[in-house]
Amino acid sequence: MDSQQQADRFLTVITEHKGLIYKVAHLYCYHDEDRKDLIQEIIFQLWRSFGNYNEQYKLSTWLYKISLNVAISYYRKDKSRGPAALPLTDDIINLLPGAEQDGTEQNIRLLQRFVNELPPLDRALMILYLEEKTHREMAEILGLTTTNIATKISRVKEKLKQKFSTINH
Amino acid sequence: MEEMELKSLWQAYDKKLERTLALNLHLVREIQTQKAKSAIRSMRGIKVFTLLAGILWVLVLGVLVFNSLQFERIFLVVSAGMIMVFNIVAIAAYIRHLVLMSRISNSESVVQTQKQLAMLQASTISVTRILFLQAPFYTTFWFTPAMLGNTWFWAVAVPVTALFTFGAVWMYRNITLKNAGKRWFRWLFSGKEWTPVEKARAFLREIDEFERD
Repeated sequence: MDSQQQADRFLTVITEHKGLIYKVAHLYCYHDEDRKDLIQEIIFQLWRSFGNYNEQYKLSTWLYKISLNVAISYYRKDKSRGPAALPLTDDIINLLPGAEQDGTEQNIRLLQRFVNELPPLDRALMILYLEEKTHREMAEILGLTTTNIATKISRVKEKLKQKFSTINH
Repeated sequence: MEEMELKSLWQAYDKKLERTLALNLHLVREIQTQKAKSAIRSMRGIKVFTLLAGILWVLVLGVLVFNSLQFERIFLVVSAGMIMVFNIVAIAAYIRHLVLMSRISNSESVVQTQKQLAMLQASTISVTRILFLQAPFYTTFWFTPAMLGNTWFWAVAVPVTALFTFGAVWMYRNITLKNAGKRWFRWLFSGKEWTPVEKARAFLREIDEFERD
């Protein structure tokens, strides 16, 4: 694959998986400005590793590993960062107008808020669970055993249910 | 809120994003040509600056040593030379640290990558402890061979240097990750530059718990 083909293929991959990148960034970064930076960093790191992507492995597994690792590292960084070297005025991935008018919007926001309140590693686990990844794929992305995954999911799910029940009562 | 409800809520969110998310291809192309630099990547500038400042300091010391090569200035030459050696060792450790950081792959599992990153961040401690060893030499550079016959030299200057030596060796031996939680350590290093080390230690504990459960 020559460099132009690789660049075009990457654009296709990002276009197809923009939702994944947005969801991960949104769950680790609540502020719009920071999220813009995080999305940019995730795409940059994906592009940097794209040449080494081994097609034997599932593309989504590779995408999740990089996106989650970049998002967690970003989350852990000191918040007092300097301004961008070449600030982007636009978002790379943005929501078009009219996106906030769904009836379930409030519950979605609550779910996002509750997942957002989890520790960073539990948050990664929950995203994968909600994205309906198999235990095996989750174990591969996170680096845990499948048994460990099952135990942890039920525990984190319980935490979320409790949070919802406190809101409903 | 049952399991299916959580998932169906997430699916609703997913569908909404599918309908409404727009990708700015122009910006992705800019990233591909590395024209767009994020705030995170600009952080590397600070590290390069630290490195250049260290190298400049070593060069200044080198010039000082070179221009002082005479018997009357033997203490200055040895002191500046030793300070230079410890700074070179610290710069080498810092470069090694930066290289190891840049080699960590984000395409490994989350636990593996985050553990490596946190361990490296926590180990910045090793660079600092080396620099403590130069402290006694800041008390000896002004000595001259003529002072060796003076009583006050042995009564005041030498004990001060001995005190600094003891302190520097003690610091070198005790500034370790194991002691990072101790009160004296936190009191001594309660600065902005130590927050990442402390955070890294806390995150390592969090990773351990995450793996153990």
